[in-house]
Amino acid sequence: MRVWIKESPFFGVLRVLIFPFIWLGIFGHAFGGTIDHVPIALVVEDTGLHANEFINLLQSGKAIEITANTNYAHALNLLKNGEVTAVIIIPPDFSKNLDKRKTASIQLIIDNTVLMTAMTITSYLDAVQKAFDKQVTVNFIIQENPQTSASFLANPTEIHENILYARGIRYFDYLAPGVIIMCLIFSAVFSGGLGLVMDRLFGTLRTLMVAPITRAAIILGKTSAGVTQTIIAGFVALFVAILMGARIKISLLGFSLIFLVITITSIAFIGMSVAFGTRIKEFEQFPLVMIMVVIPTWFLSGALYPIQSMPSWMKPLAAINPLTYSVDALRAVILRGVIWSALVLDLVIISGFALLMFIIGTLAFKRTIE
Amino acid sequence: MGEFAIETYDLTKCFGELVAVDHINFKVKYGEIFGFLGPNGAGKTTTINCLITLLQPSEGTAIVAGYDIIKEPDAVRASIGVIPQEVALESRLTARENLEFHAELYHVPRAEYSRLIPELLDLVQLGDRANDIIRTFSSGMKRRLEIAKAFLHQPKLIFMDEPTLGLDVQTRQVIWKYIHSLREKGVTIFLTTHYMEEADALCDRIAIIDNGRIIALGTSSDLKNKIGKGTVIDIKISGPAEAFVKAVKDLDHIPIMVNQDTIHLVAANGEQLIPKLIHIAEKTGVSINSIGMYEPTLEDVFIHYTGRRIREEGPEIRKILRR
Ligand SMILES: Nc1ncnc2c1ncn2[C@@H]1O[C@H](COP(=O)(O)OP(=O)(O)OP(=O)(O)O)[C@@H](O)[C@H]1O
Ligand SMILES: [Mg+2]
Repeated sequence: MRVWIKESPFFGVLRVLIFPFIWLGIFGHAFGGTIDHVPIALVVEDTGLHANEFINLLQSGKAIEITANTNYAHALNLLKNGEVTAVIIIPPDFSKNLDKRKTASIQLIIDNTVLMTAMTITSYLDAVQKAFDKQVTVNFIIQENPQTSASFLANPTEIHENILYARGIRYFDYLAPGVIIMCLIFSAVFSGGLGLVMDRLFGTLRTLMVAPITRAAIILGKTSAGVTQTIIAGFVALFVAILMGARIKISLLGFSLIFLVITITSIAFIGMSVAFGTRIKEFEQFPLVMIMVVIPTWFLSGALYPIQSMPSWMKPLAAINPLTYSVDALRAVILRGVIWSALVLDLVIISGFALLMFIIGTLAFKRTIE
Repeated sequence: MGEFAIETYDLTKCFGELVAVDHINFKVKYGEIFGFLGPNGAGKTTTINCLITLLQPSEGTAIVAGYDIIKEPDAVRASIGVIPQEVALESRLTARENLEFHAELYHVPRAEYSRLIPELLDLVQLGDRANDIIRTFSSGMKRRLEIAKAFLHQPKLIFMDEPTLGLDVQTRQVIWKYIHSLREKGVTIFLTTHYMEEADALCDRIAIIDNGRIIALGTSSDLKNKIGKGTVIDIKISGPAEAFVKAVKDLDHIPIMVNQDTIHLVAANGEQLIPKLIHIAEKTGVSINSIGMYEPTLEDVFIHYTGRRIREEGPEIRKILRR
């Protein structure tokens, strides 16, 4: 009997009992939840009564949250940096037109790289428009290219509602960066720490332990061993995504940034895997632990579905999840192009995580065979 | 540099309840070949692992190459070479690549290792297999390569855990010769073995270890003399052995060991004992099938102290862990 139960009781219990909890807890809540509190910037250029009424109505639901009330230029900046998902503009003639019983218009500029969120906003505005019970149309502008948006605004008559669908980003495009990241981290976690665990199994780790080299050198060696492999895995996934028709903005700078995001993410997650590898002595336990760590990490990163749809207890988990920032950075470069201000924070956080993992790995690595 | 390459002070290692190494004290001089001889599970590998800083002692300490193994493990590692009991080669690299990797690990200059590698490969008779992948090697070939590896960075102190385990007689003798030539160059060697012939042939001094304790220490002839300048007698008998054994024990203070139908004893003056033994046999009604007389070996020393043979299971049944 004992021969068959190779796992330690701890891991046996963990696998049988904890897995369903984790899986259900995460999968059950990570997608398909209603998206709410989407951050919106409001630009109010009309001080009339109707405008106030409209704003009150906007704020009555949970779907959006007005996080900034500002001027047009600043609002557009917030949109570019991804701090808000849409800008709602109430033009100066809004109340006047309604008073004259003419059709008044609202302008909506949406960052449609997050498809589900964009859809939530448009349908919410549809509902608000109906509830408003007055002659209002909503003009959509897709924030694909902010310069164009500006010229649209200068020339409001050119706005066509069908822009949303013609240039729309599909779920496929939204998902592609998330899947690229997944291929990357799966390669990362198995090419890093597994080498350490195998070396321990085959006794070659002892050779390294008794060699006159520092612990940090061993950990660094194990980390860098998998990097090339993992970067290649990331790029293969990228090209497969392009071949399958994912929309990807390619420029030389964009390409270098994709490379940068992929490299830092690889180092970070290989580092994490090596850190685990320093303490996992049993060969069979390693994949188990890695799957237990990686799958929730991936699902909690917004790779599949926007973080805004997560229940409120789950959002902080997404916020402390380093992978969230990798996915966010890669998606930003791939779908929006190069916007530095939106990228810097992501890159800093992932690099910080990579460094932290290296330090933890080095400290956790013991030079004894007990 | 002090006088001793290795000094242990009540070195002890416990694994839970089990005391694998039990307060051992010994000193190894620079330039000497020092052997640990003991049966399986005696604590030889555990002792080596403590000395090479792979295990933290539970109690006591040791000074290796002048450095404390607990306080200055880095300095210890930089001063030693190790041949592990279990082969630890990169199975997907070739023999040469394994050696090159090892040389880089020990900061051996490229010019030097490119000269040394072919030399060492020839020494362990693997010159023609230099570019073959380790996975295709037999376990004896892997062991030989492991030995070449430890000589590569030319350490002044080498630990060898059963260096010739599983090697054929010819290769074993080549390795012994090389170990001797290393000593001539002033290299200190600490080795473990459970082959008495090996301890006899190689070691300047031998510590016999059993159950984690050193039970005897000295040169090979010291140890043999300690059990009495005498002869070993093996008698094969059939009949009521118990009565015979009791009578022999009464006869003299002779260390005696019974193994199935063979009685094994050490006597100071064997020639005179034999007629007495025949007499006892007649009296107790056993018949003697054969009598053998020979000079004592280290095995007899072990038997003298423990009442057991080093290898009770007879022929070599252990295997080296394969990759
Ligand atoms: N990591 C460990 N955990 C628990 N017990 C251990 C461990 N390593 C060794 N032992 C025990 O310590 C004792 C001494 O083992 P050791 O490997 O030192 O013997 P040895 O003299 O090298 O034997 P051999 O000739 O078989 O190599 C044995 O009883 C062994 O079971
Ligand atoms: Mg051993």
